[in-house]
Formats: sequence, C-alpha cells, structure tokens
Amino acid sequence: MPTQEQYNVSKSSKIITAKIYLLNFKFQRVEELSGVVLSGSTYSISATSDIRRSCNISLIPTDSSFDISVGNKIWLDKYVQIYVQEKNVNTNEIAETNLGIYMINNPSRVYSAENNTMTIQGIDLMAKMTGLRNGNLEGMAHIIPQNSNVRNVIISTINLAGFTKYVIEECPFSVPNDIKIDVGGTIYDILKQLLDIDARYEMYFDVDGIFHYDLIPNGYNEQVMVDDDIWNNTLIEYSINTDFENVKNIIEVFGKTHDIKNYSDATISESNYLLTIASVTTLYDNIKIGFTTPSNVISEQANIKINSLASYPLKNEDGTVPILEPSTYYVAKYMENESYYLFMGEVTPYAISKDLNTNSPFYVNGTYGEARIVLSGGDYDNIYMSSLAQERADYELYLRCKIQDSVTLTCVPIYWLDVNWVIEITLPNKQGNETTEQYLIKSINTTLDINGTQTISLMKYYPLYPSL
Amino acid sequence: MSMTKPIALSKNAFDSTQDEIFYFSASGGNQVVKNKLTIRNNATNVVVYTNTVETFQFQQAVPSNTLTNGTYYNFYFNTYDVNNNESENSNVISFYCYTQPTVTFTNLIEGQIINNASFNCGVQYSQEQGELLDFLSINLYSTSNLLIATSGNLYSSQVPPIDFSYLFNGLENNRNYKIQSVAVSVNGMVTYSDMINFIVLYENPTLFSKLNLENKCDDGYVQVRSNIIIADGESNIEPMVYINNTMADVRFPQNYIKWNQGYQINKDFEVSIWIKPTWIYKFAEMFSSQGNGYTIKFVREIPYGETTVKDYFELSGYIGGELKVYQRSNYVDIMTTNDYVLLWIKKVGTNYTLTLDIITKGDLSYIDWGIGNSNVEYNTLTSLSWGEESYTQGTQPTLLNNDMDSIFPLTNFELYGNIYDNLDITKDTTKTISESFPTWNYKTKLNCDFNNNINGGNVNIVLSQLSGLKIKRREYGTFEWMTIYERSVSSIADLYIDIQDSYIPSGNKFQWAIVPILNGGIEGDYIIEDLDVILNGTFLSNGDNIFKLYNSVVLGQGVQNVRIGQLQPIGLEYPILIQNGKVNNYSNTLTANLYGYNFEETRRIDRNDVIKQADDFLKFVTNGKSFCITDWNGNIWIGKTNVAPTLSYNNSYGNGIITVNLSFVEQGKYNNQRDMKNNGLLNVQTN
Repeated sequence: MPTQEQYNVSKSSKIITAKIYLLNFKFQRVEELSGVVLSGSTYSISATSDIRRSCNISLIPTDSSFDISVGNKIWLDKYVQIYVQEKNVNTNEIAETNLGIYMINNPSRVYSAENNTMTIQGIDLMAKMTGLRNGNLEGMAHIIPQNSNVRNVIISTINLAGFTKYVIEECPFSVPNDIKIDVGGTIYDILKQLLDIDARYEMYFDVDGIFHYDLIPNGYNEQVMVDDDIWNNTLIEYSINTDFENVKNIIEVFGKTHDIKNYSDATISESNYLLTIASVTTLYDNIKIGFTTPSNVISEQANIKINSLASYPLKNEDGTVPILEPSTYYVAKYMENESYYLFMGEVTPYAISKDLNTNSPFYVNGTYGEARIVLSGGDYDNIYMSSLAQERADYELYLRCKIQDSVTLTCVPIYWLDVNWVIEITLPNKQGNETTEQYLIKSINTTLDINGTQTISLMKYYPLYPSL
Repeated sequence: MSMTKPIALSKNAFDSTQDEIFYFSASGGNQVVKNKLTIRNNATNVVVYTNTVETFQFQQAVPSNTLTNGTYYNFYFNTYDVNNNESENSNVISFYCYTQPTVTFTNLIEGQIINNASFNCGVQYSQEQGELLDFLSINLYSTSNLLIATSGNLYSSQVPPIDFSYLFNGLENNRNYKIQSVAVSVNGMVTYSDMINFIVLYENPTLFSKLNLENKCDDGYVQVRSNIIIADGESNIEPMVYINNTMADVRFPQNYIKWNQGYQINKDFEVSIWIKPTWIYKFAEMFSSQGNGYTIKFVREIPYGETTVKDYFELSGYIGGELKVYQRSNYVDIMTTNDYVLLWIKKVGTNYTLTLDIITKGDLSYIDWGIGNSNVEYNTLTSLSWGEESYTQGTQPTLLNNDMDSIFPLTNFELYGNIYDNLDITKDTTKTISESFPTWNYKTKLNCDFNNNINGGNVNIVLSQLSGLKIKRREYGTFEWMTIYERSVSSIADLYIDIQDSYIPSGNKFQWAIVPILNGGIEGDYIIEDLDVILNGTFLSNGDNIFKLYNSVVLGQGVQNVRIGQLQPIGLEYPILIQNGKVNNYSNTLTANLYGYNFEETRRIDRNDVIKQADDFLKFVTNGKSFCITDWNGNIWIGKTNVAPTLSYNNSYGNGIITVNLSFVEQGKYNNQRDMKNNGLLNVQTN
C-alpha cells in the first residue's frame, strides 16, 4: 500500500534520488552509498518467476573501499537494499520507496581515461538458494519423506540458507511422495518440488527480504490498488497484443500414472471392497493398492479389505467419501497413522474442466464451439491424485479460457507498484469505446533516469471466472 | 457487491506488554462494519489470538500481554458487512514481539553542564532478547527543537548491548541544547532515548592578534597576515634587576614595568600583587586612556579615628580626570622593606573589596661591621628618621563607588616603586583572597611571576593552551564562517600567518577572522577585520599558482547544467518533469591571450616568457585539479577542465602571442567548505 506522499508524488513533477544501503546477511545496515549512483540503473519485478526481483546499478567508485575485495563495500557477504526518494517539487514532500533487497552479483568495473564506473547486478535473494551464488546442498542425497507437512518442510529448507523471516501458508496437501534431491542439488530444488505440489501457490521474497509461500492472487475480490486517478497522470503509451490461439474452453489434465505392484479386481461384500492380493501379507504406511471396481459400486462409506487383513475405510484426503465409478481402475494408499485408505483416484489421475458458463463468450456450446487442450507430462506428472488433477484443470481453464489480452503500459515510474496487484484503467481509445477494465500486474520494468519510464505488463482480469 | 479482500498493513516489531493497534485497508465492496483479527504463531501457524470487533475503523487493538515477547507471529484480517458476509482472509503479515529496547546516554544526564565546545556523546542500545540493531542516530537540537546536528546513521553488527559514541563539535558557550538518540532494530522497532537537556558553559580563551588585510587587486588575491600578540611587559630599567631570580626590583618611584598590549581587563576583575614594599607612593595604575582608569597607592598616616600610625592602600578611579571611585584597604601596622605583603582588589559592578595582607613581617637583625656580610640595608620605610619623623592625621574619608563602566576595557597596567614577586589579574571574581600564587587559566588576563621575566602573557602558557589557529572568512553581513586556513601550533613561529586568499569574488565586502583553537577544540574569540575586495583582471588560481588573464578575455556562452527529463502522459495537458538527483552546475569557455609573465611590467612581448607562461598554464589546467576563476565582474567559479584546452598563435603579432581556449565545468561553490575541501583548494578538516 502506498503512503499518501508516495501516491501524491506519483502524479507530480519530482526530483529523484537513489539511496543504496549495504546490508550484512543478518539484514543489518552496515553502510550507505549515496551520491555515487548513476542514472540509468534499472530494476524489474516479475510475478511469474520465483526470482522475482532483479536490478542493475551503476555507480562511481569514490575510493578504494569500492575495490572488490573482502572487507570492502562490494563483496560476496553483502546485500544491497535500494530506496528511491521522490521529492514533490510542488509541496516539497519526500516519499521514500523500498525497491527491495538484492544479492550483489558479478560486479564489473570500467576504468579508462574518461570512465570510472562500476556496475553491479542485484539478484533476488532466491539466488542464495538456487546455486547461482549459494544454495548447493551438502554432498549427499536429501530426502523429504512423503506425508511431510509442506509448510514445515519449507521453513526448515529456507533455514538452511539462513532465512528466518517468512510468511508461509499451509498447503492443503502433504508431500505426496518422497522428494529425493540428488547430490549436487540445491535448496531451491527442494523448494521447487514443494511448490509444484500445488500449482496455485507461489514463492518469492518481498521487498523486506521476507520469504513468501502463498496463493497466487487471482484478482477475485481483490482491492483495486491503482485506478485512473494515477493513470491519467502517468500513462504515456500502451500496447495490446491479443492472442486467439491459446483460448481453450475444455481442459483435460492427466497426472502421473501410478506404478502399482499390488493389484486386484474388487468384489463387494456388504460395505467392503474385497481384494485378494497375494503379495500383501501385512499393511504398512503408504502402501499403494490398485483395484478395479466391479460393475456396481458401494454408494455409501466403503471399506477396503485385503485378504484376511483388517478392513479400513476409503476416504478422500479431506475425510469425505469418494464417489467411485463402476469397472474403473482406482488407486488407494494406506495411511497407517490415521487408519484409512486414501483415495487417489484413477491409476492415471485425470480431470476435465469445461466452460459451462452460458454468459461466457467461450461457452462450450456457444458460437465458439469446443477448443480442447490436453495437458500431461512435465509439471503435470506431479499430480498424483485425481482431486489434484481437477484443481489443476480448473486452474488451467481460468488461465486459458479468455482472450489472452497482453497489455503493456509505459508510464512515468510509479515506484511503489508491485506485481499481482489488481489495477483499474480506462485505456484511451480515440476511435472506439473507452471502457474501464481491471488487470493484474504481471511484471514491472523501471529505468532510474531522467527520461526513464516504467513498463508494466498486465493480464486482463475476467470477473466471469472469479474463483478457482 | 461483495466483500473485498482486506489488505493487512505491515507491522514492525513491538513490545507485547503494551497495547498495539493492527491496521488494514479495505476499498470497494460492501461497507465494512466488523473486522476479525487472527494472530498465529508463525512457526506453527497455530492461532494464538482472534478477536472480532464491530467498528467502521480499519483497525483493531490487541491488549497488552496478549502475546509473548521474543516470539514470531503472523496475522490476517477478515471483514464483514452488515449482513455478516465474511471476506476472504487478507494477506498475511509476519511480525515479532520483542521487549522494547532501551537507548540511553551513558555519559550525559539531564541538566548536565558540558565544559567544552565538543562533546563525545556515548549511547548504549540494549534489548532483552538480543534483537539486532539496524541503525542508530544521535540528534542534537536547539531548545526550540530545531535540528542542529546529527550523527547520521551509525551501524553495528554486534549483539546488544552495543555502545556507540559520536563527537559533536562546535557547541556554543552559554547555550542550552537538547539531545536525543533513536534506534531502529532490524525488525523495525523504533526506540527513542529520553530527550536530554544540557548546558554548555566553558571559558572562552582570548588571544590577541593583529590581522592585516591587503587587497592585491592586480594580482588576484587578498594578503592575510596575522601574528599573536603576547602581553609582554616593558620597563625603563635596562637590564631589569631580579632578586634571587624570582622578584623584579623596581624599588624607586621613577621606575616602572608596564603592560599595554595583548590583553584587556573588563568590568569585573580581581587584582593580586605580591610585594616587598619599598616606597610609600602611588605604585600601580590601570587605565584605558589618560585620565580614565584607576590609581593605587600606599598611604602612611594616622587614619581618621586611629591614634597610631598605620599603612594602607587606596584605590582611586577617574573618568575624564574626575574622581569617581575612592576606596581603602584595611589598616596595618607600618610596613618595613622586609615585609612581604599581598595586595588584593576585587571589583564586582560598583562593589570594591580591598585587602592588604601582611604575609610575613620582616625584621633586620644584625650588623656585621667590617666583614661585609651584613644584612643591614637602608630601610626606606623605617620609622626611625635621621631627623624627627612625624605623621599626618588623616581626615574622615569619603568612599566613592560611582559607575566606571564607560572606561572599560582597560588595556594598560603599570607598576612602580617596589619589589614585585607575583602579579595576577583575572576576571574570576568568585575567588577569595589567597596567599598562594594562582596558576594560569582561561580567566586569567595578566599574570607575571617575575622569574627573570616581566611577561604578562607567557608565550609558553599560550603555546600550552593553543592547539591551533584558523583563518576564517565570510561575506560581510552573512552569518556562516568558512575556514580557509588552519594550522597546528607548537612553537612561537607557528603563531605567524601569512596567506593569500584568492577564492573571493570582486566587488564584495568580506570579513576575515583569526580564531585561536585551544586544546579540546575550543574556539577563542574571533579577531575580525573587513575589506572591500576589488580584482583587476581575470584570474585562475588553485592555492599554489595564480594566472592573470587580462587581455582579450572572452567568456563563452555559460550553461547552467541541470538534468530534467520530460515525460508526457496522455491524460495531461502539461508534461511531468523529472529531475534525477541533484545535478546543477555551470559550464563555460574562457578565451584569453597570454603575453608572458613580465608583460605587465615591461610592456614588451618576450616570446620565451610567453612560451613559459603558456606551458605553465597548460600544466595548470590539465593537471586534473580544480581551480578557481575570478574576474572583475564579480564572477567566481570553482571548476575543472572538461575539454582539452587549445592554444593558438596570433599571426598578427608574428606568432608572439598565444591565445588559450579553456572549457570548464563547475565543481563547487567558493563559499562551501565541503566543496572547497573536496576540490583540494582548501586543506582544512573542520569548519
């Protein structure tokens, strides 16, 4: 949220200065670099990347403390935190905006008869875990056991990199399978696998260096952070690229086919599915069972009974009763602690999602007809249950069942903007209708210069599909 | 309409033993009539507090002691409309609870008196749970809360408690200040120390110096010369006679020692003189001019109301020769030449205290006829006359103590007709009479121990007190001084200053001051002289060299360089202007003919001289250093060459004259201390 001063100065003529603080790895300020930063520095934010923020800073070394060596200002053990100060020339109010904390990477220096500048890359704190600078795990394979709590694992994982400030939401799923990180893997590899458990989540560092793992904002019921009051005063130009090719109104998602070693056709006895599997002589945690339902199914709470072993109820992860189809190959997993069989869906997790909104221009039975896409392999192999496949299919429908308007704004820099914000803008259109529409900010690129502008990439927000 | 998702606002660390307000924002959607705050332990995500309040305000207070210090939490809000429709969870914000840190001054208490112009302020940051510090600053304020000076951000990576110190210089005497420190922890917890009031009271040493200014208008500078004046005494006895190397023998009334430079005596004073009296007569005068001052003399008589002869001294003050003050000391039995006495005068306003103290009573004891080691000497004070000695009967005295303020300061002090062991004149009127010799301090005006010298302002004492001298300059009528020269002082030779000040614009009146700097950085009184500066020509100088350009000097088209970007939003009639940073400087070109160093005197073009001057000029403008350009229009720029200079020979003079073309860009202001130092034009450390 911007302060009133930040908001006001965005619309006025201003004098801009940049302040750079050097931080140690405990996020304590150790030095300030002022008056040495050259114009032309840039910073960017991308909502679609875990490496969310990056920047390039050019500065003038004023003394030997800028030499790249241990103990000096520019060294491996420092972060940089960038602030931009805007002075409103009309009111003399000063607004200060935090542009984020970065790792110093690959400083370069040009020294000639007419030049003495240093350029440093500022890379997102995530780089401390990706292996770009740090983050390689100790030389042994690491395993995250299945059924681990995702949140707890993430906290432990980022602690390995020395990060102790976080906002980590609960993931609705536990770790589905053992996550094995081979020798040479990185902390980020663990995080990435954890992130892929649910595609609706994102992870990033905010401007204060706090690690976040939370739902990707979709705009539904989000507050409009910027409206035409700002854009009328800052918008320089815009461009729209419309993509017809990727509009899909039927999404089919296939997850990873389970490798089932314990299989049986099921028969029904009272409320039990009876399975005969010679290889199962005892039940243990996470043992997977494959079975094909008979031509009729139990409509109430069913149990599974293998051989002469005890029977246990078959349930979804949220405790509800799964609905089974006849003559269908399903997979269940025994959860020893909770004493039930977790219903995992078809042997190949599958789901379909269609645009059934009759008000939608892309209604499957409308003029546009059916436009199908089948998604499998790659990230989709992380889907191990049909319920997950359904969530993913709905999410993909949300992403794909709309005109892929890609709007790019060029404007006077608004430094306090951030990605995943909902904005509202009336794009000027001399020859057509000017309608006020809402967008999600997906990326921001800014140049700190007198003629520097800000480029903002937007994704149109469609209220027809407000919620996943 | 529905409930929009609220936005929880960030929360700095706070002390859970205090009430704390949590905020959110909500815009759009239904009217918020109720909000729910949920706080969780951030490590476990277990809810530790939840509360719903019905309010239109976008906030909720958490009572003290609800949470635990040293714990990491997170929170989010939900909002409700009048139909109890609930919003989604807001964004989640993490925060810490910590015990409020303490920031305390370690060497300063409320109302403390600082006896120095500088103060090394100590501050300690402490936090119970060891929360790390982000930065700390110490701020000095006037009594009206105007920020005077700040330490800026001080950093430390240590685990608390952490001690900081910062030296504040330039504290003004007899002035009240406020000081406060503020610390910000890495988790944003802001802690203020108490605001401490303190007083600065120190003795302001006064030195005496002559400051001579000479406008060298044809050479492009002002000659500044100064020499400290020491209050040395002078006498008509040559050589001066000393007794046992510790006393000056001025025993006859026509003999004198006087001090008439290097000090001044103000309205309130104390005078102490240790004497072996040899003559009943006027023995001291102190005055500002003839007829305006005091006389002190011994008197022997039978005072009014007494029956026996007594000695005393009287103090008479005159303004324009008219008696305004008459005061007497106590009476003592008549003195002998071997007596050792202390004469003590204190003046505070119109109150006078005079004391004659017989420290030791002398007595001649033996006569060793013919051997030569007799201690008998002629006793000029004896009551045994060669003839009949008689004493006058004194009349009833009329004591006067009229206002004498108009004659101050007194700048002359003279002694006659006695043997003197010690003299001390001070402005410290809090003392009581003491038979011990005083030591020199900041309040001392004149002090002479007569140990084989009659110096009233001992150079050794001056040197022991002085750490340095500064020459300062300011434009007449302005307030801020700028130091243009400083030197440390360790010998008498260091007291002499002779510098050239070429960084001044023509056509303006300036003031120069010599400022003594005593140990501890205390500035003494400024000795100030004024001068109207006139420069005849265009000059380039850098402190080492001055080049005069006086023929065909052409200034090009000056440019005040500012960087202003202009962005034109579609929706605005007028553009938005963006000025990045503080770029604001002047640039220009300068063209002039060089005629050689000696042309101004000889009026003849000496080709070798022209070449030499051109070579020197080229070196001067291409050595990478800054220089100062002044001209008779009153222009002054501190600049550097920014384009390679050119030299061309003038065909009209048989290639005997060289035209130089110089391009420069401004590097600072001549009256900005930091600019001048950064440009290497003034080598001074402090203002």
